Amino acid sequence: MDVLRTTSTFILALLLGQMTCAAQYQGDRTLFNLIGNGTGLTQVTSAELRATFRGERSIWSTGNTVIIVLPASRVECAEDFSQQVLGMSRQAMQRYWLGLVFQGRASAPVFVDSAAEVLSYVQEHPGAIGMVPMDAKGVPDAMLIKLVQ
Amino acid sequence: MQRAQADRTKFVVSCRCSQVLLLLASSLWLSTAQGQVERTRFNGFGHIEFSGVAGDDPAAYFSLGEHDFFVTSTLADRITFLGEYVIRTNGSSATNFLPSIERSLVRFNYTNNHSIIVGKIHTPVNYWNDVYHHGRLFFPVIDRPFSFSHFVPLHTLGVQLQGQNLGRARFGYDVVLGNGISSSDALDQGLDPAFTAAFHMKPVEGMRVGLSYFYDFMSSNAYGAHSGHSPVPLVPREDVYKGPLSFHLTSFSFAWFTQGWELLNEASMNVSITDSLGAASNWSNFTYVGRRIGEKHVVYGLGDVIEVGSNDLHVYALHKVKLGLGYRHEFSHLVNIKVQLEGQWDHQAHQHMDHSGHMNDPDLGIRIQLAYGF
Repeated sequence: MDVLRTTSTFILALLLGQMTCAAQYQGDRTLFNLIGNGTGLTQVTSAELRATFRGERSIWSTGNTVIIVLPASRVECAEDFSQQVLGMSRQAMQRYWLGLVFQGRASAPVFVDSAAEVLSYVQEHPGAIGMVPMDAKGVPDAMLIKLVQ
Repeated sequence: MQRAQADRTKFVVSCRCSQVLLLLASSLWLSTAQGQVERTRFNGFGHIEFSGVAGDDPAAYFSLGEHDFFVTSTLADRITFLGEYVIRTNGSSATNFLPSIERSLVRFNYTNNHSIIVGKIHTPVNYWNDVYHHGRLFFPVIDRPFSFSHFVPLHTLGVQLQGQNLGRARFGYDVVLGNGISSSDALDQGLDPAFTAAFHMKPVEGMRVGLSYFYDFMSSNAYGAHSGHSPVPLVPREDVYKGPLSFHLTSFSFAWFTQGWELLNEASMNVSITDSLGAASNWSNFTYVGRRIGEKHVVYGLGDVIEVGSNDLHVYALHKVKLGLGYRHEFSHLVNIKVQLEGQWDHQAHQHMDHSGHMNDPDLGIRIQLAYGF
């Protein structure tokens, strides 16, 4: 049902000439909601989303430090997440982040083992941002961030 | 009257100082209170190699490479620590191993993407030294470029201002002031700190273009804890020049890593100036081209050349060329193996060489490196 709602939102947005959807990132398989806590974001473009998850931002406008929450490699949707959001494979994403942390140019992201852990980590840590599958339950509306293309 | 005015001025200054202190204290308190997350993370990196060399003195052997213990920690909101500690084989050590602190720094991220860093860093003169450090897992080929053995001031102990991912071109800057080439981790000679200014931009995803300038004046030419490089091996240490020397290094890096092609070029121009022999102009260039095939396979070629003038008293005259072909297999992001066929030609100062100026016969060999991290 959620998928149908999302798809219809996309089609409607396309018809309106402005591709706006309600807090999700759509791919072929898993669909994701973007969630954040104390980020000051209500909406992001896909370029901003990609830049954020590539570690190109360190502090939010709210003053909170950016904490990236990523799905660990054993999480089923990790491949979908890295392909859709970062445009790279799961292995390439892990290589990219390991390299970035080793350079000392970004703080290590937090890898968690399930969508529920993404949600609870983001809820508990101001500045945290992550993505959860759209079918994840218990996501407060206040945490959702819109994606604007 | 004047005394009263002076007292009033003192009072106003004192009030302003108190206000500033109060503001600083409250901002520090706020910064500590806002979502501080204490996270400490440990990683390890290492490698094992096999080398087979043909020629007049053929050899085939295994070697245990550098082993790197890497720590990052969040100390307070916006304040992080990074440490890199390496153990490597060393024949002069009683245990045949020698530990070293390669990086140890505290970073204060004072505003989005701008930081001030204090500690021992890898001097950000080029892409390689800023990105790969001691992790062979990240190296696209088996070895560092030649310039690392002779030009590149590997470390600086001091203060660094850093900015990154600024604007659309993802502009970045690194300005460093600290102990230079001849210094130790506890002492530097004189009042002349080493200076680095490096700028880069990342106009396209996967691409980084950088330019840097490094300057150091050594009142006594020496190769301290931060040099990471040395004169050519055939110059006896007791014969090495010990007078004053000005060291200038300009570097240009071009890196472009896509899901298909990988390209890295590191060019360096070095000028060392002494009173006795004047300015020696030296240069080096390293090129790597790789082609990724699927997720795990990369075939590559490399070329490396270094040229040091005959009047140079820091490195001493040297001409060296390396060409190589290789294959890298990435089992995962934590382990890879590289197989490299290479030929190396060189011609060093103090060498009994062919006086026609030709270089020695090439050293041809095969090297295999297993690099890992965890």
